[in-house]
Amino acid sequence: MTEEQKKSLQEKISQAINSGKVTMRPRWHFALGGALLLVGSALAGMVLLFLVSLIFFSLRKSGAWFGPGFGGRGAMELLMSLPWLLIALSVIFIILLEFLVRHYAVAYRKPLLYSAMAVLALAITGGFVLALSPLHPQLFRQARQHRLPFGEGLYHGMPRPERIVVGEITGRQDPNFYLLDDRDESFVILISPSTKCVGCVFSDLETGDSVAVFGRREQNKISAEAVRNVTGQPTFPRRPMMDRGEKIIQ
Amino acid sequence: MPENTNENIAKQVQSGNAQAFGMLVERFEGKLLRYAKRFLFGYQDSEDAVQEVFLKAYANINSFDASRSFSAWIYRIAHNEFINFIKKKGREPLPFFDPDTLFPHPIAPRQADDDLKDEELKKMMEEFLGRLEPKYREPLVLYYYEDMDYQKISEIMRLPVSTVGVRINRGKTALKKILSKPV
Repeated sequence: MTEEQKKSLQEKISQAINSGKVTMRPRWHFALGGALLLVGSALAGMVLLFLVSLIFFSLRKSGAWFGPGFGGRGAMELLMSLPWLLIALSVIFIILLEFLVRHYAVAYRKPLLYSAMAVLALAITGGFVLALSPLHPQLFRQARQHRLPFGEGLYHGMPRPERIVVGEITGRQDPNFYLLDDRDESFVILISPSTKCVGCVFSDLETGDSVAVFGRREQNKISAEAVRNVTGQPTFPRRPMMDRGEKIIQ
Repeated sequence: MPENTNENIAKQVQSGNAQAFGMLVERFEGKLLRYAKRFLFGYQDSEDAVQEVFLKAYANINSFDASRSFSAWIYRIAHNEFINFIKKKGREPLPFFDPDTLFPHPIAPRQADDDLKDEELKKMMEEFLGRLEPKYREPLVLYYYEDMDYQKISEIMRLPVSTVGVRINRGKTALKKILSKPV
């Protein structure tokens, strides 16, 4: 490049600046951009946490969560009952959050795998912790009463396992008992000599306890292969006697 | 801090001294033109691309953090501008996602005769740069002709340092293959 050509480039730039063809963007423009990026990342993170926690809540509420405790077939029930819509939405938000986070040096300086794993780990840990809070049980109750302004479908449309039911014992007729699930559907749980009580004793189960039952269903009767007491676990707190209402089935 | 560092001059421009920008143009013009000519190998109007780089640098000067390197900042603008230039011309494919950035890659320690081999390669590289994909051509240009280290190239290309190493090595391997082919 000759001196003349070099001068020409400098002159062109000076001319563009002096004529106002190009102007400096003000500082607030970049501050706003940075703030929007931060807020966007935070919002995406919060939505992701909500979705992941809803996945955990959905699995617990439906009973699929307890599937692995019933062996290989129970684990299959868990796999078949995964809330794929929620999982797909979560994946979209993981990708979105990863895209936003890659604008920061702490993320782009490392291989994509590291930041993606960090986002995934935070989502799963945070989602698991949030699922233990009263947020989803409250929203679930409001959804049942059609009082949610939006998102009701997320709670109504939770997939249910075929061979697992979770509910509250409403009465006993030894060795069988009666169960009421969260949709107020009643079941008769048929206990046979081969039925296992996983981590529990049948005689200790009482009215008001929450249990997960694994077995074949025929209309409202379930031939129980295994039962597990889930009273006191997140999503299944033991309600005081006065709150249980008159739901005893004779 | 000496008064005439790039960073100090940039601060003056930010304060409203538009004329000070001319000093930055003077300092970086030659380097960016060299970078453009080698990265945009075979493309016409690479000078127009460099002019756009300076205009964009001026327009966005308030986004520059004076506690960081101005050189890395303006080269980053140049990288973005040259990539856009290649996309507009449509002659070379630029993949949206590069699997090289996904996984970590170990960086091999330099051998005793690597400097000598690099010098020989640099002499022969000039003619055949255009045959390389942009993703290998660019880090080679920045490393061998702009004398940048992996860290700085990583900042400019927004890639992990290990990926920079992988691309340079693959670029060198590709060049050696080209050079070893009979004429």
